[in-house]
Amino acid sequence: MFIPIKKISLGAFLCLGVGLVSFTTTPAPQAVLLDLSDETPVWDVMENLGKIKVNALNDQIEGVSAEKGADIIFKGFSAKKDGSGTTKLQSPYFKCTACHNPEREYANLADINAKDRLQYAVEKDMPFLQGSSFYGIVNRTTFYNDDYQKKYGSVPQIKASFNDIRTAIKFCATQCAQGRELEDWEVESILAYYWTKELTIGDLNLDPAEKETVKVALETEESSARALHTLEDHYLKSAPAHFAEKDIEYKPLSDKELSDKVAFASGKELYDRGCLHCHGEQAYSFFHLDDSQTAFQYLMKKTKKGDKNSMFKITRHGTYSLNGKKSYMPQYPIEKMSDRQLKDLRIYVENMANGNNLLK
Amino acid sequence: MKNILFSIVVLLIANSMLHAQDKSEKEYVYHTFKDTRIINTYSVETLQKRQLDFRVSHRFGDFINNWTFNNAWATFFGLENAADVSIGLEYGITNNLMIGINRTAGYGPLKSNINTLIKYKILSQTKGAGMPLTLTAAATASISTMLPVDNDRSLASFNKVGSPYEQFAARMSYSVQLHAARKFSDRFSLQLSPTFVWRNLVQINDENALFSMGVVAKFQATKVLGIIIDANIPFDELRWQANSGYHIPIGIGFEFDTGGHVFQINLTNSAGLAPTDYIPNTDLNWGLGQFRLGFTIARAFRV
Repeated sequence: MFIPIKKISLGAFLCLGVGLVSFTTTPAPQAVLLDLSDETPVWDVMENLGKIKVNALNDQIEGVSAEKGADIIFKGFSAKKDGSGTTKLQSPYFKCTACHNPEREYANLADINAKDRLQYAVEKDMPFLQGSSFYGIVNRTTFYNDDYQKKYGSVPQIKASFNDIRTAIKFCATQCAQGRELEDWEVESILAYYWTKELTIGDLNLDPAEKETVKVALETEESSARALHTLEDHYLKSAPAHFAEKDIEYKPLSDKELSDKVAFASGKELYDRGCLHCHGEQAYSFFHLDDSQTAFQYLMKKTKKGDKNSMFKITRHGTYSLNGKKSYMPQYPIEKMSDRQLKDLRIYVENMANGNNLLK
Repeated sequence: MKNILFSIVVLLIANSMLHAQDKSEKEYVYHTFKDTRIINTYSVETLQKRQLDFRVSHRFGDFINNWTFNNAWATFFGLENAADVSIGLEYGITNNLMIGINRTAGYGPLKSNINTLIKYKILSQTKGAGMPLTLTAAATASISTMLPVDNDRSLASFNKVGSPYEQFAARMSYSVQLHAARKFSDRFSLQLSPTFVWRNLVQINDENALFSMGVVAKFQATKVLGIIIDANIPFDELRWQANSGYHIPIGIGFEFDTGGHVFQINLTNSAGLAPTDYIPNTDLNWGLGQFRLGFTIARAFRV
């Protein structure tokens, strides 16, 4: 039996190739030890522990900068890709900050709840919004989570947004903000801005033992999985988003409920930091609200009637676009505003509608 | 003249900067009025930056002229007549500066008018101690685009050779107004509007310059519904003469704010819609049933 000459040649070539490679392979460089301080980015630590960095920037796209990303987010436009002039406004209706805070929203990033969120917003004097914060968004791995997927998962862009931050940014720009499509360099610039808001070790509130676990893992390359889990236990890789299962029905409040000063104060913060962020003067919406008694009476009237403009329904379902009116109000998932807070809001509005300012 | 213009521009820019600096420290009073006009009179309000307002206003015929039912029935309470119609656009360049252009049919001798408007908010009322009122300046320039009338005595016989009538300037009239308003409470606002109207061409017994005082008030009944009144009192001899035929334009109406739409429905004895028209030319009398139904629909867009 003869072996064809072509097969012999191929075998010889492969053997020679493997041999050459074995001679020319250089030893792996010694890993640079990462200094574990409060300022050390979480992703740097995780990469050192063997985790693949998701949401990484694409440095092949020209004209990308975090400054441009910040301008798009805060102003709605930026310098053009080549730096000349400015781009068109992304959306005439909203800026990203209409619904998203750029700053941290929770004292404990692993235990998020609407009550702590409001308390933190009051402490830091921040708005109380429907969307998730941009702070640490690049440390998350999924977007438009839970009920967004359950309810709207059939929409290809929402489905694709689940584990693709760029699709999520694009989707938010055209659907939530009802603006123009972002170009790739704009999306990447926004992502570059997000990277300036990545979590650092100091954000995670690790105790000394946990810090030691991570440090040892970095130095010895042992127990990396444990160290990774330790880090991941201190923040959420996905922002939970659940829609309320049923609407709160309007029921008259008892005198005790109505005179609850703590609930009233909480409701006032929700109104001022939530409702007025978009409906206040010179804000985003043409539907204006303020501290006038007529505004509170209007809200109570709609809420008592239980129509689509009831506070309970608007907050939980948002509004839909109307003919000739592309902008709409996004809803508050229960993680962003709890049912208890919605009741606090009602206690505040009802008292103010009756001319009872409990804080005076 | 250049120096004066330069000084004005510097003053406006300095004021804008002052506004910008103040915003973080002072709490301003907003929505003294819900619309940029109260019936006929401009209010102190300016459009928000990048807000485009599409406006249609209409003034019907006499509601019940001479209190005679047959007169009312003949035009179905004026609804089958149009005394004046306006259609136009206004735009907010900044939160304090807006411009506008509209076309009105016109009620006075000069018809088919194109009116341009510039309006600037100079001062804003603040909560508590501080600025007690909002002050806005508005200027209107009107040009009549009507064809010349074949009547030598008419102000609109623009082609009469050798007379001032043939000049293009004869088609022009202007108004400059200061609007000072205070929101006394969530329910009540009051505005005074000293006004100067200049018409390039007037009848022999009239004056080119006309001063007047506008008075505007709003009572906010609910968040959606407000009751509004306006009056413009001229200060000249002719219009106060017993048989001059002129009357003070007075309007009363309702204002509905539905968020994005402001709808006003009113009764007024003025037939014109532009300040260069209704202030000098109102010759209809409430006392004779010569008031009319009017409405304004304003629809805001963000662009």
